[in-house]
Amino acid sequence: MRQLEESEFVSLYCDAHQRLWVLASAITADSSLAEDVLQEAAITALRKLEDFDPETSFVAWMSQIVRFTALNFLKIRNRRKTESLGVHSDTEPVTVNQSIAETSVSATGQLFSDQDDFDDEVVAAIKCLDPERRACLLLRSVHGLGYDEIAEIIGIPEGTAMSHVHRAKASMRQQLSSYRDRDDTSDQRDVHA
Amino acid sequence: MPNSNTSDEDSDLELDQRIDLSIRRTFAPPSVPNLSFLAEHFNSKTAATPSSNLAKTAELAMAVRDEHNTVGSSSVVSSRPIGDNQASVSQAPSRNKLRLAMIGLAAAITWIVVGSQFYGSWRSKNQTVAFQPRPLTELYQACVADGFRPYWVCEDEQLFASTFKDRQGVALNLQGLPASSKMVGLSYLLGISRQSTSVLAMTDDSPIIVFVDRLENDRKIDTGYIDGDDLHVTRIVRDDLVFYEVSPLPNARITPYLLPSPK
Repeated sequence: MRQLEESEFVSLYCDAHQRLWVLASAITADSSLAEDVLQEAAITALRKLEDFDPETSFVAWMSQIVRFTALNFLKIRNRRKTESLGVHSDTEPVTVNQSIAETSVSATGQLFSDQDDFDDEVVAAIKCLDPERRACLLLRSVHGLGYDEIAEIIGIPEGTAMSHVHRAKASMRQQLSSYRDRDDTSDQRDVHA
Repeated sequence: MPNSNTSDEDSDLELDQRIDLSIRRTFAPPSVPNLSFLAEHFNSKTAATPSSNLAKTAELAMAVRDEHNTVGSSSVVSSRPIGDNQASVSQAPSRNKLRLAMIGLAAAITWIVVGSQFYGSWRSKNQTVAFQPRPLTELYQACVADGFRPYWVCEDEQLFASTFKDRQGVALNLQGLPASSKMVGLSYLLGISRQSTSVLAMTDDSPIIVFVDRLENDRKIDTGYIDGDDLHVTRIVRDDLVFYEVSPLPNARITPYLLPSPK
């Protein structure tokens, strides 16, 4: 079996970076941890390069390493939370990529006056999802990946990926149902200032 | 504008779309990967001899440059096929020339790694959603498979026009649409660029999507009849805008009626 060259690894890693990043941030439910997870996963992968068959899917192989690394990060973080004094509650808002949030403007053509609150609640609702279900939802929403691609990255059957996305969306809708009622009372403002 | 969905389905759909957009904003990945940790890994891993260290990082830089074109240092780093191994680097005519070349490469590599971080930081501040170009026909098929549901149904002509004004710099309205055609709604399927606006419509029961963007954002997109998808892609340029209409029908049926708003 030919071994992947390190330069080839870097190239493939760059190509897959965005999907792996979304996977890492989905599993940890914390986009600020994603880069750390990826870096650790990449170093692990480089150490195991001889185990990878270049004829197989790099994304699938790397995704598995990212998943295990991300779950480890979660375990360590949860253990630290329970061991430290003044433990934060489970309802603490998850870290949001602030630079992205600050620059988000009228992508919808509409602006809602409670947009920031809504984003915070979306993150909180996402955190309540099971990591695998959360990963499926994010890969679908952020990247628009097909269910076959999601299944390859997560390492589950395609039907399961489809079911996860469907159930995740239903769960999110239920948790954010109060915004549905607010939408009905026309809580919108025109794009024109 | 006709809207065949029930009120509850409309509310669910609108909430779904709002959630989707929020997720995209919050979990948008960086556009440029951070590779400085890999350079450190290679430098610490390889032997202490300058040439072997620098050769290893030279391969890394070439791989990054070839795949991402992040920084234009092509005068120093020449393009090489991915996978060329260290042996070809060490076959330079003389040891001194090799060392000089490697020192130059090291400088370029440092600039590439540092420069890409600034570039990535600049891009992330100016970009809310990650964009990966996909064939328009693929986006069309996905939208149809998903029920051909728009992100929002805009019944206010002024709001419709101002959406395009804000995103594409030109206020547009659908004017004089024939009875056989109807507007379904607007979506943000990306398409040409991150800023594209998509118009979903129907003509003779055929779903049609018009991707609208600034002409400066145009990219190489296949037009004409796309055999594998049994779809037609028609490109029209007008008013500093580019329109790509995707549908099963041979000619553009909606784009001709998507016109600048009368002042």
